[in-house]
Amino acid sequence: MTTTVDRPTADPGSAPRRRRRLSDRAATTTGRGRVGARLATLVVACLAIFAFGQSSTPAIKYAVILSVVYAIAVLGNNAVLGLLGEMNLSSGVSMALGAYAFCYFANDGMGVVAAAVAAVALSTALAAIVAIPTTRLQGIFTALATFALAYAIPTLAIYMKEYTGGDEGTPAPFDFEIFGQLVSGSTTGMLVAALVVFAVLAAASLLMLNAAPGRAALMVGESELAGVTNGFNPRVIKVLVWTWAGFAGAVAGVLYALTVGFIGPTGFGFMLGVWILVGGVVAGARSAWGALLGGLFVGLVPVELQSYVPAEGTSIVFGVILLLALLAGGNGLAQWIERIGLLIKERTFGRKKVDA
Amino acid sequence: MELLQTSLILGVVVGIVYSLSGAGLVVIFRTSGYISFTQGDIAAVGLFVGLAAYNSGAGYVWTALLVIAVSTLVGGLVGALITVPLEKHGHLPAALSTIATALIISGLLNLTVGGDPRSFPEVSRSEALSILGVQMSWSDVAGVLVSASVFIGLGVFFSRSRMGVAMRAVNDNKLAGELLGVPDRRLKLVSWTVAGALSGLLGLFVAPILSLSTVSVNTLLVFGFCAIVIGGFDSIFGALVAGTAIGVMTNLTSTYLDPNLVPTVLWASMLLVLLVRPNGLFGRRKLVRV
Repeated sequence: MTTTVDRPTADPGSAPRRRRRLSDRAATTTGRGRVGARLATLVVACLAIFAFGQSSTPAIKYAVILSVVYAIAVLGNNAVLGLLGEMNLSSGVSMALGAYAFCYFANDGMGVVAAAVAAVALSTALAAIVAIPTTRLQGIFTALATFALAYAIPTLAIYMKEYTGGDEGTPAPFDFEIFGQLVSGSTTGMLVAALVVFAVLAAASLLMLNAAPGRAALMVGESELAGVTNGFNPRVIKVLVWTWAGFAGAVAGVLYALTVGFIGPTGFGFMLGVWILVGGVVAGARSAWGALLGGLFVGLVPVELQSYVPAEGTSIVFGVILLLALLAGGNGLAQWIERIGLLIKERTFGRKKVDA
Repeated sequence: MELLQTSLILGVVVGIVYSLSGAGLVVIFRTSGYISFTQGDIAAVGLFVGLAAYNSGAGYVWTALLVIAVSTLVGGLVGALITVPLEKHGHLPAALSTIATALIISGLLNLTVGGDPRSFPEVSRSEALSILGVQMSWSDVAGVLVSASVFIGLGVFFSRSRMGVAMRAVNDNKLAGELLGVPDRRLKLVSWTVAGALSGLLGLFVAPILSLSTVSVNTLLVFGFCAIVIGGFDSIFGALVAGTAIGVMTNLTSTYLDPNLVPTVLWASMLLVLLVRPNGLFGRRKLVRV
């Protein structure tokens, strides 16, 4: 008869294994560690999204590209939510800044790449300036300031019609090519460009999380006092994390403009910030590859849902999913997937089959 | 000069109603320590039920009472069934659950009543009095009187009544409150119920101005948020002063600059206050033992 029993404590090989198991569990909770495995997961996830996009109808492919764009914004927002434990509802604002600045510079005669770089630089600088007073609030109260900002942007865009086109909006470049591939709309070039940008930013995010900046941000998020004791300035750390979120949002905004081809004030309402926040919570705020799941949740799920639920009722499904994610502990889908993977690994390799 | 007088006086009138939006948020914050994003949707449920009753022949008073009753009930249910139970995971999940609830309620309203704006009855548009040549309707007067009464009532409740003091204690030190036998869960449910009632009351004054839609009361949430950030999260009086100042400021911005700049001016003034006084103009500074 064959039974499965735990390896005895006295076994010399058990202590390192137990330590590794604890380390694995800590890795799933904090999002730190197992960098190689996580980078590999990220690459596989991006390839899977590429394959899915390529094999889909043009409408679905377009939604997939937008999902990847949203995933970049989710990635930035996750730094604020997952590391600092603060609520940012202004991801849509960062996207709007990036998109409008990009279109303005490009329409003003600047080259597309130069316009993108200038737009991202300008938006990041503005995000840093806004972050200084915003981070004087703590925890969930940052939501109030960012909510007000998100609410202000559409009307501000209308007011600044000289730069934004006002109610009528402004066109984005539609003939931009890289290596002979058109990067616009629902083309394969656009999908690849969005995925590559996402992969680079997600890898950078993962590497930073596993280095000193990530450690500092996590410490400040868990306890500001602990951060101060360890020689960090919480305000500076927070401003840097919020600036990173603004940078990622601006990059997403530039790609959004290239994908959609036209931007107007209605595209950046405060609900966009809510969707991006919800996407991060549902997918897992401390997972780099999980941001891709968050983007799909924001960009693709509503499109797929339209076959089953009227458009007016989509928010009910979003709300229920968010509630379920919170009831499950608020750790997000990516962490659950990692936990299940860990459980399978423990069951497969952590026990020894012996003949009784 | 006449334009300035009108902007200032009507700004004060509208601002006091804005304060009401902040008061509901402060009531929840004082007991639970987080902010609710679902107050506008709770009010919208009450308002749509009230509108249905009004269209069926109910008078204004019965409609108003029904709106407040339904909002109270919905507020209590949201607190009891969703948000307060989720507090065991922390303040962030609890606050996020209010966003989830707002999404669910607005989706349900969009499916059942649709998103088209409708007119909502008001107390009366006829002139009640004139201040410095600015005419005020009975609706304006009622808005100011009711809001002022609510603020006085809440101020007395939180500073004088046993329950009010206990509600503050629950947020200040939950463990100490439990050791003294303070029923924290029950008090939190009371705060959600009271906040629901305040939302309904706010809706009664807002819906006639903005028209009733699934998002119209939500629009005022942003004014409420700004009122409590500027006034101080835990200060009822701060919400009143800041709300009134916001009303005046938004009216002046609309009149002399551009209505499209109102939300931006609101946000910028909030940031300015945060830079100077992070706890708001009337908020308590948290003391930490060192």
